[in-house]
Amino acid sequence: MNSESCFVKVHDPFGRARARARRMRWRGVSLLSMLVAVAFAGVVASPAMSQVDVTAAFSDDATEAATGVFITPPVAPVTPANFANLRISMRPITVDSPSAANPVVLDSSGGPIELWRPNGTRVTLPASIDPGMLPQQLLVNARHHGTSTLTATQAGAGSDSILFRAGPFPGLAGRELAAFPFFEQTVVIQTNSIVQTALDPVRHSDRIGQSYDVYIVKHRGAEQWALDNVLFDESGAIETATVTAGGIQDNVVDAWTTGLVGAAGTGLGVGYDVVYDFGMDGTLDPGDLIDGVKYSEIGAASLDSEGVDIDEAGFYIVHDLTQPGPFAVQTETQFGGSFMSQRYVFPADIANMGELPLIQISHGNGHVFTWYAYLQEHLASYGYIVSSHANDTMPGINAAAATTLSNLEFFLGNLDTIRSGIFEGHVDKSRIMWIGHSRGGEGILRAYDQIVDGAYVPVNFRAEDVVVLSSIAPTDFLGPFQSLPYDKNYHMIYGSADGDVSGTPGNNVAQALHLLDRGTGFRNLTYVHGADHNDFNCCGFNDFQGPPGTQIGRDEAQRVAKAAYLALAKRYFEGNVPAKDYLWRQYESLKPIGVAPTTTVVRMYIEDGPEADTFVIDDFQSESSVNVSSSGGAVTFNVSNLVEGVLDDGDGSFSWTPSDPMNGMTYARANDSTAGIVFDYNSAAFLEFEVVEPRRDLSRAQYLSFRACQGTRHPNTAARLGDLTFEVTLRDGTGTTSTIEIGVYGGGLEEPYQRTGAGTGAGWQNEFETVRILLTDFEANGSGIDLSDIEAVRFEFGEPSSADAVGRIGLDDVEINRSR
Amino acid sequence: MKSNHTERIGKALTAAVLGVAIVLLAAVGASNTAMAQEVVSQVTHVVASAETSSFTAVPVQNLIVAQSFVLDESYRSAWSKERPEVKQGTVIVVRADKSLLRPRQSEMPILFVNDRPVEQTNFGYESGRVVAIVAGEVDLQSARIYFGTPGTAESVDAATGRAELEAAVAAGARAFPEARVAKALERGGEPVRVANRGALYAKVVAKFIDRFSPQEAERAAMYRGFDPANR
Repeated sequence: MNSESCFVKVHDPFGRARARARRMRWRGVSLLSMLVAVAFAGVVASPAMSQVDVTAAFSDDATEAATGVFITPPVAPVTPANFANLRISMRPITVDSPSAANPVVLDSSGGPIELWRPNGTRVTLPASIDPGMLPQQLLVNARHHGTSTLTATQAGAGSDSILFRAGPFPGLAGRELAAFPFFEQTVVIQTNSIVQTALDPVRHSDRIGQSYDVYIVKHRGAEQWALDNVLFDESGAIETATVTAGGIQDNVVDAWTTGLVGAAGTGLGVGYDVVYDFGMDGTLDPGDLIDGVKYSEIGAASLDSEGVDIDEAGFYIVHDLTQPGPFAVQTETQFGGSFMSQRYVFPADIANMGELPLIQISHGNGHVFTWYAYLQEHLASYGYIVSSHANDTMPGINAAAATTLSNLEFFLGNLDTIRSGIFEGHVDKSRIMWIGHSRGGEGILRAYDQIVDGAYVPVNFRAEDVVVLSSIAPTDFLGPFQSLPYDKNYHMIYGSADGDVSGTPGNNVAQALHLLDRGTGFRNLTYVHGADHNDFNCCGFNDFQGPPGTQIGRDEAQRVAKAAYLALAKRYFEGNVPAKDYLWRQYESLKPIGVAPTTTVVRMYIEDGPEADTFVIDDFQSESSVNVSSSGGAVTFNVSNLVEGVLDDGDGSFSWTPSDPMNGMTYARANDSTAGIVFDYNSAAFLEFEVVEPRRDLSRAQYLSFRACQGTRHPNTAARLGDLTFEVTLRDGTGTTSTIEIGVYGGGLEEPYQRTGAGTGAGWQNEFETVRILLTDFEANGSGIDLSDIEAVRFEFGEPSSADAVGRIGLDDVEINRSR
Repeated sequence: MKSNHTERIGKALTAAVLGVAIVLLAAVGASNTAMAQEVVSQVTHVVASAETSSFTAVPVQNLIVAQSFVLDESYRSAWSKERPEVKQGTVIVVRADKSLLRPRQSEMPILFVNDRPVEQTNFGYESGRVVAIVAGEVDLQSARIYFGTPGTAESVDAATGRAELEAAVAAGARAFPEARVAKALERGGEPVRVANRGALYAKVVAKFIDRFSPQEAERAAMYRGFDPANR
């Protein structure tokens, strides 16, 4: 804003110029030509200009110097070499003056901004602009988060300035929520849903009053956008809207409501970008907004924490994961004598395909290797070779591990002869998944453990070739030290009505969840209410144990399994972006289309290990005091009966008794180390974790993550059976707070499956469920929270907003995930 | 077990459940065999889930077949902690309470001959007949054949085996009558000599499974090494 407001400019010179351009149907218009047009508009529209002026495109001039202009840094430092790719994240400005007497000096207050010319040369500040060169068009880039004021000064003509606010841009695509933060940016939108987009008018206050066209376009990488910036809408209609003062909920656009296309072939998700075309000219240019480039590959800065090359779209339309893929499949059975038999299912056209990842299934005790056709055929139809082998489970876990290894060695070592060499040249030995069921589920971990320990030296593969392990309702015969997933990606699927590996507190062998908590890498759980042990194969006997009417049946359990395993394979074999959401999002907000609306599934997800980019606020293990977190911060609370300890039910019964505070916890044996806290409340209460000083800048992190559960059979749980919700608050260094009630995303902490037995009352083992909240959600609608200086994470229970006045909760792994 | 308290609960539960089972069995009567078996099965199921340390050894009901063998190529058995080398032995077929044979992932009763677990090659939960390999020499005239404490055979060491035998004898496990053993050996026929473990499974074990536990034909076919559809 001018220091002396003596003239009125047009509200949106860039926008009008672009609107003209759009009417003329310009295509592939260059930035330079666009800026010339803009300059023309600005000059024409500012007849009363009497002093120097600097203004940003698509901004409200009245707010430029005060509330400022929002800008987000690109993923990599800008250089002349990558300028063409990165410029679309920059904000155009125009410098002008009616006076030709003196040069205009541009300078900044320091901070994150830098200036570039449209031709890709850097402008060093302070910079002097000859008045003969006015109006001058430049591009502003943010190198990092923060604020900076850009000032233009001209002797005799005063000065003008713009405040730039550089921060995270959460994106545009997602879904509207009923309460704060009112909108959730999501990566996955399923074909039975709609695409909504939204802009926060507080974050983008500079754009209030600006009109824009909404385009849903096929995803392009930054380089592609640089080569071709013309927008082609795929949604059937280009919506036009205007940024409205108020909240993000006032700026939601139903951008695609019918005919969503998720046909990804063998893939998972069709990527689209959202463009808010403020120029309204049908092209993507600096100053427009795009959801889809912020994480795209640009130079070398495209590896996420998992080493995956990211070319992330704004969102992905995902089909029904329970449905088969495009490949016809072929089945071959190899009978090789005692415990050396395999059934292979693979794409029938494998002879014309390249190398395919390998999935090997190790069945459980009393099972047969031919019982997993449903899963083999499903995964093979997406382009995987899926082998199920005879497993020697009767002697025990070591024997099962031995057959897991011997069958894999046999297969990989005899590709030239098995089934006349049909697999020769078509197996990607570096991408292997092991799936094991029950004893076989522990057996695969035993096999991997032996490799890590050096007790077994593979011949035809390497330890690192096994990229993901998955157990279906595994046993725990061997305890804490012999069957560990270590830091390998580890998944578990488990039925709450399992009558065999039941989870009963009196039998450690039957507590599958032990294995999950012994992992030290990425781990996730798919816990299926109403599924029993043998629902995950074709033919084992019915061992359902649960309340009448809750049995979901084999077909439904297998639909859940098919979706879970497809997502698992896609994520860890291919680094598929939308697949990750199927590992962690609450089922209430992301249920595979083919799974019944009434089916309850609890997902748990933890990012740990060397591959994770995680700051652990408190894992409740390395610090025994309840008043100090494992990261060294203070823990304060007024919740009742808070106890920290190993997650092991202490009395062998699920009956509630105060003398066994870890009642219902089946994540550990007594000599395991995994620990957490439990507590309860009967009125408003809190639990707060200090974020220690060196780790308070969360502005570049993505999620606050924790896992929590309800305490089974506790009176407070029994009093209000249902999803339990509460509030999560961030507080920054100035005392500003922002609060989100976790239920707003569509789920809370699931009530324990109401199975009886193992004591009196109803309710089975405690079900840890992960809650991950995008940190930018706390910034919504100008909450004022400063993510660069978060001093506390606070949980508030029994507040009126949650409608859950009482509760009994277990809590663990309060973390900050930096990776998306 | 986690604590004395837990153990007491488990034992009490076991006693209570077994008591209920006895009452139920009496109620359904001997004529309703299927129902009785189901009751036993469910009772065993609950007991195994809740507590295993209070299990009492259960002798097999009959010795049906016994056939000795010699291998050209020995192998290491996975059926005990010591992993003994098997060069010769006896394949036996026994009849047992089906409730003991229902496949489980968690602890199952382990089949012993004297103080050693035997190599159980099938489950037999539908037929009630188990085909097993007894490693080494064994005097079947004096042998106790029984199901011991639930667990996994590969975790049983020599000391545990001796304790199991003592417990079994104390529980009433006895050797089969001489005539019964003689009949079993007669059914088994002459000792066989086969190349290795695979051949033993293919030629002897598979044959007995097909004959005495035909519901497990798929398993027998796997041992033979060819698809049953192509037989």
